[in-house]
Amino acid sequence: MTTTLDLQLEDIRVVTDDVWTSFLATYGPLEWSPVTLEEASPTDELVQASVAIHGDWTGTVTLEMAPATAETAARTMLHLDAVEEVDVTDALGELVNMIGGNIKSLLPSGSTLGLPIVIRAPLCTAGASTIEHYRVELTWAGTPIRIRVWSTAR
Amino acid sequence: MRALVIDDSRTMRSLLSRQLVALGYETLQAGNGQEALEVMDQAGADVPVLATVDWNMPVMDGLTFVQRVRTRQEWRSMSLMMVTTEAEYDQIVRALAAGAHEYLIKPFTPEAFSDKLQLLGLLPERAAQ
Amino acid sequence: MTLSPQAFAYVSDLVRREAAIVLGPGKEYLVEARLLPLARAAGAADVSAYVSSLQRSGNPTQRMAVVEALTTNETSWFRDGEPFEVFRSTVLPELLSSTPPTRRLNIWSAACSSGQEAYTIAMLLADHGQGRKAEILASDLSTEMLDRTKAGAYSQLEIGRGLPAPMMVKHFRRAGTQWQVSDQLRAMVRTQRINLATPFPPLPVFDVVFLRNVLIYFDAPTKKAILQRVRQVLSPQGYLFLGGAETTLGIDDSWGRTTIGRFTLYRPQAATPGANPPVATAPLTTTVLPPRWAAAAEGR
Repeated sequence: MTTTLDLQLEDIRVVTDDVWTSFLATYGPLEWSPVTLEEASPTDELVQASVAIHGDWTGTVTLEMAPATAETAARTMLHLDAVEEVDVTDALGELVNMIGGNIKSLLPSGSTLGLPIVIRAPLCTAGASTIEHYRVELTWAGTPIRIRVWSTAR
Repeated sequence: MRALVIDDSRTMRSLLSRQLVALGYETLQAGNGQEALEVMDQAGADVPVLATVDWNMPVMDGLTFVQRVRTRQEWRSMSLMMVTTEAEYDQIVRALAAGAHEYLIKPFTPEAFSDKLQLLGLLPERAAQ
Repeated sequence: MTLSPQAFAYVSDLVRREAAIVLGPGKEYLVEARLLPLARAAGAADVSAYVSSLQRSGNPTQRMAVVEALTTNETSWFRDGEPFEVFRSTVLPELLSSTPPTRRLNIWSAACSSGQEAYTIAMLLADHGQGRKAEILASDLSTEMLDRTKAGAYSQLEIGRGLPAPMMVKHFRRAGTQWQVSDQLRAMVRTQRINLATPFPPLPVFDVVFLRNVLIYFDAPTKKAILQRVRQVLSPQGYLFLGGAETTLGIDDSWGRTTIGRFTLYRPQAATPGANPPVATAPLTTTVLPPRWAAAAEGR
């Protein structure tokens, strides 16, 4: 059984904002972006962090940004001047874990959260078996960031 | 004072450890509940005063860790603070029922973390405002 | 993009002088996060630019706005635990035993901001008030804050500020991205707009007044006038709670002081002959560490 997803874009925004305010405020707040990640991105490669939610509703939350932005986020969270790929992967995983976990808490109770997965991917990858439901385009530290919520097609 | 930081994310372990060290703590770290139990066994009689416990971790999750700790008389003195992205009402009730003393939902600000330490009586005097 | 050391030094000095609050090293992010909305509203490029323009102009309204942004939002539940522990362990039992069981307790949370203090008191009354009828008047100058208090809905970050988890699950439920206080607590809290600096509207006689971290915003004559007005609406056997950095000493000497543990309570002078009179019930025995609220809330 798959229930429909009843989220507001504003909820996703609030959840993401809380994460940024708590750990990444040094570089200023998140803002709504007037353009898409594709239009604003300086590179053709992205870091995409995702976490799965299983339950009455089953799907995935993804967080995407350019590698340089991901590195800035990792450096800020870890308070380090230089970070390695493994740090970036871990930091982005924790960011999407927090966003996904808080989105899960807005869904009917009893859902479970998977462990985060972080990949580097070309722009605009979408699995054939997924449907995009929500998309929030943001900017932070002058660079684009995108949150998407996908459901797994049955 | 020693604190055990349990989280599968190195980023989160580093964040929490950094704040605890700044407050005068010595920190131990573990990447999941099983590792944490091993660290506790190695620590012997020198039981940490606090463990911060993530919920979702591979091998052994945080709730199971809390339940295990509660079966061990010699670890009774340790305060258990869940620090997790699990934010539902029912989950918080479950963790408290299992024996967690405090519950901090991720994301959290450094102030919120020290507020929780203060509620547990674990904020060193000089850091209390 | 990060805050300049000069800007931080100016702001921390300002806040220390105006509000007796110390922003030590490492609090740059706090200054940055809190002042960003002000910087935006003023059209400044960033917080550092905003602070340096304020430094040049010395605009008193803006200075006060900066102090407020860094202090009044510090509304957190039991974080500042001592006054509430003194209320629970000493003041409340004393009031319950010294007043008829049918009489309603009247408590005033003055300058209530978004209501955390009023609901903290309400939680203590609900859990330790032996079923006694009680009303908490939550007042503020800002109608926006009164509306927020009345709504009793708090964001995850707000709820994270020092509310013990056992009390949170007892008195709050999740509502979307927010946490909603129970109807039982909401029914205990009444809101009213009151300007402390001008004569008060008709008010009930209060058993306890919480006037914490408010006087710091006023000059000495206004402080004195406020304290005198508060004394007129406080029962002769009542209690006044001030903020940790505040005192009646040297401002209005018609108050007596009662020390419980490390905490100082104020009572109308006539009720407390002598310099440091005993209180009716046993004083706190622990003065070093705050209590385990978890245990208190569960009655363990």
